[in-house]
Amino acid sequence: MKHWISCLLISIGLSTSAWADTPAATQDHSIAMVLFLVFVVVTLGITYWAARRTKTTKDFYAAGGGITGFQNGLAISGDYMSAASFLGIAGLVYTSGFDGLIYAIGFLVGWPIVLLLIAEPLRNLGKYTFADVASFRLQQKPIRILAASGSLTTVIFYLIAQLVGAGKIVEFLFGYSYQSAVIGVGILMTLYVTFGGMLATTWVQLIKAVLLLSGATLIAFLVLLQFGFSFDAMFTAAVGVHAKGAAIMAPLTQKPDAVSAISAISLGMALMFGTAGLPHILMRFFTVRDAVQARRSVFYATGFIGYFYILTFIIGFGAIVMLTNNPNYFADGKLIGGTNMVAIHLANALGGDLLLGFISAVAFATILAVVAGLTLAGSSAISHDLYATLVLKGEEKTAENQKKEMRASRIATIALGVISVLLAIVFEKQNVAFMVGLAFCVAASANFPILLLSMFWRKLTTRGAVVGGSLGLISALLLVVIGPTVWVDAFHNEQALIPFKNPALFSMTIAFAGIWLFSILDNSANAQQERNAFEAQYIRSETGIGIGEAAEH
Amino acid sequence: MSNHLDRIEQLPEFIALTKARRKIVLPLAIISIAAYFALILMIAFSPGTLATSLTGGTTSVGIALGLGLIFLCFVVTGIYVSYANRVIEPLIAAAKKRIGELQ
Repeated sequence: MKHWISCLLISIGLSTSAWADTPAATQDHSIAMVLFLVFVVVTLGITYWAARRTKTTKDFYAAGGGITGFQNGLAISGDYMSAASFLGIAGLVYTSGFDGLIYAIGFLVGWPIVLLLIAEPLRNLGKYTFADVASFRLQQKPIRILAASGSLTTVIFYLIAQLVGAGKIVEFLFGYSYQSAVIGVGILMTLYVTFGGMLATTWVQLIKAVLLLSGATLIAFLVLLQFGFSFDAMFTAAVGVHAKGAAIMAPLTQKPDAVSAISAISLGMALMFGTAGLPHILMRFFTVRDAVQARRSVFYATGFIGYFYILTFIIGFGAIVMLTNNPNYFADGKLIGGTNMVAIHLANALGGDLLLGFISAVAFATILAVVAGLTLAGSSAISHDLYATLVLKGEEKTAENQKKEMRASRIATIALGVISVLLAIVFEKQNVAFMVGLAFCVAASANFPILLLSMFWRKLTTRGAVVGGSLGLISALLLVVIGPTVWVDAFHNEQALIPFKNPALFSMTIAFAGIWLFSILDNSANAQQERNAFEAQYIRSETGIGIGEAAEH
Repeated sequence: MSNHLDRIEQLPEFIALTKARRKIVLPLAIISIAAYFALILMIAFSPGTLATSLTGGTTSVGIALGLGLIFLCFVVTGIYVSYANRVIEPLIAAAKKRIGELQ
């Protein structure tokens, strides 16, 4: 324990000294700073508490399995409501109105799908990761390697996008250099996960979700107060001052062509089905006792997330009315800090330095909680799916092997922390907006098809899942790279090789067709065994029989 | 082994459970997917409709449909959870009891 405390002290020392030397930004950050330090101290305290309770792999990956449905719903919404979606969607509504709303809706519509198709069978069949479910009746080794590749690809791209965003936000809000901001965030997230595992990550997530929901509620309330709680009055005022006028009440592109229609459908598919394939979200379902609590979790999560997007929509419109033509927030005709900062500026316009400080601290808390959840999912894929299966050969029941697996997950966490911080520094000047889209696209094209079909399609075989899933993963990556977001925006080529920004429509089709074809053509003895094993799996997935024994592992 | 499982899959209690689940899951999933992609297709092919005023004020049909879709997600999850707790849970309990008697 002494070792742990010294680590903690070093990290606090490191983070403050790394940050103290850099010049402060123009505004007064003392309130934000105090609130943020309180958050860090409280969450590190929680991590210390959680570390003493984290003794087994079940504690580390699933918080001991004792989280309630309501807590888990709040934690899921915390995992999902990133700073990027809070600041980004408010900014998008500020610039384009209706189009911002559509983007927010895309992130919500996956939740009914998660509830209806995924949550309960996932809880009934799995233990710590979605690969447990995918490999339930298939061959452990190839399926876990594939599922871990899908998970890690999703997690790393999502993590880099969040860290780059985090660095820029912290740089702007608190005036620290980009690098020290990213390193500070990286150290804190690694500490939470390494020592506190899922228990600490869940509580950090809960606190952050409550802070973010209350902060956003407060701003939205103050906005609506200005308009006598009439949406129509707010829209009228916004249309009156916005440069695009009444056009913000509808799609900005009034004459879309086939390419943009296909792109829109494709993006919709990535968002809707990608949600059901995000490893850090799927992992949360193993922290509750049973399928009833899993079901309840999604109900609450959908409520919180939907409510949150309505708030960001109000915040975006409030920002149009209150910030446009307000010289305090513009420099050289541009919004200070870019359109991602509209929620922050609006907080200042509505509640002065106090609200500004609170919302800045909330944004920082949001960043920390989301990257911690992602890191935990990534390290679980390495330790539980790769190390425990390939090195320990699945013999994790012994206490000694549990210890080895825990050590592996901690090493994996630190390695992921270092790698993602380095990548975030490398990508500082790059356009990383495509990375969240890519993460959703991979989740929809690799993780989701394997998971869905392993649970519901009797004829699925290992060969089908491996070939089809790999095709989905590779085609998603390849099509994003040769599309406009990477080929033109990041590599600066003249023209993209394919005109579609999001290829999920194609990569999902490739994945499902590949899995189907290579499964039905598979006549091996293994394939027959796997099809026969579906019955036992199906009975367990429907009733939860046997879930208690698995939880004792 | 497989003989034993065949019997479970054919138990009236188990069949009742899977039927009840399918009866609620399929329509709700189709409604959610159809509603979302209908809005996406409207954006692509009939953006003018979305721009029309809802009731004469500034609020457009598009904004109303968008916010309506968010409420649809609440409603769909609410209906499913209430149905599952009322109907599916007793069926799971009945199926489990029957399977337990066989073993």
